[in-house]
Amino acid sequence: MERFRHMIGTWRGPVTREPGWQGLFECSFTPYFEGAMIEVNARAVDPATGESKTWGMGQVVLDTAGLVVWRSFHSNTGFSTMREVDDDPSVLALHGALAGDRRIVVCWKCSGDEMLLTFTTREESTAATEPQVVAHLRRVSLPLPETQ
Amino acid sequence: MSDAMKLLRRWSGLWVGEIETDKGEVLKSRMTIAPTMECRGSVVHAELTDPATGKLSRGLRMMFAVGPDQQMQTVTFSTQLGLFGLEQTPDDEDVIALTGVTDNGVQLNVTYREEDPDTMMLTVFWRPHGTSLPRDATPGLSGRLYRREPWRPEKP
Repeated sequence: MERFRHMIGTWRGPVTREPGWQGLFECSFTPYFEGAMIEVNARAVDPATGESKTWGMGQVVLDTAGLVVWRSFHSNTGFSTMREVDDDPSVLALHGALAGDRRIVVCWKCSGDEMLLTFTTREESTAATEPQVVAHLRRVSLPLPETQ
Repeated sequence: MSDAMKLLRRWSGLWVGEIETDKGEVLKSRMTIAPTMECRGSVVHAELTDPATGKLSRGLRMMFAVGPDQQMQTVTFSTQLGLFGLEQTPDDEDVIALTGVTDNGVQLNVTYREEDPDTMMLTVFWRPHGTSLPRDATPGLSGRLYRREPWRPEKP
């Protein structure tokens, strides 16, 4: 899980979501059990009301091949298991299946204290499209010691 | 909010006790149940430690949420079994019963049963997926937990 070391902490920034909704996105990566699992909590906030528009939480581990397995819950899409697609080492790209013959694709690209998140869901049979959610995040806190 | 989520909300707090394994070990248990994501989910964090050494023997972290199909499920990590999901199965109103299969083919049945507002019985059975549980099977883990303190929100 060494590759996640740089992502540990809290990140925040503007998010845009189809069709034209803009808000604030915040996510945190927290290690548990000496880093054997990373927990991720995320939410998109409506800046006008301060209320969470969507939210999600998940747990991340490595499989026996060293690739990321990410099991999560999202308020819009429900439960899913995503697995890393090992095609671009500079991007953590995750693909998974959703109920109703849909696919979910989530990409994290981290560079220094900035991170780009994209999120797409689509029908299994349709071609890839532009991301439906794009968040430009900046680190807002340093890694914290293991907490409950 | 689902009945099971209300039950988890009611159980929020720190629970301690002793858990016995199927091999006869008795481990100290410290379990916290806390709401998360603006009270729309709950997290159970359990640590079982060797009473002699204080070292972690098993750790478990379960995130509960209700999906679009109104079914409560978990995202669960166990230091023993890895990452897996559990689904709620029907049971009594003071019970949360969960079942699921790990990627390694282990069938799990986890039951939290409230005995009184400050006492809970935890039982975990596991077996190879596809096999039936003998009527007299010994739980993999079982024990009584006592509420030590109610849940309090973290300071900002």
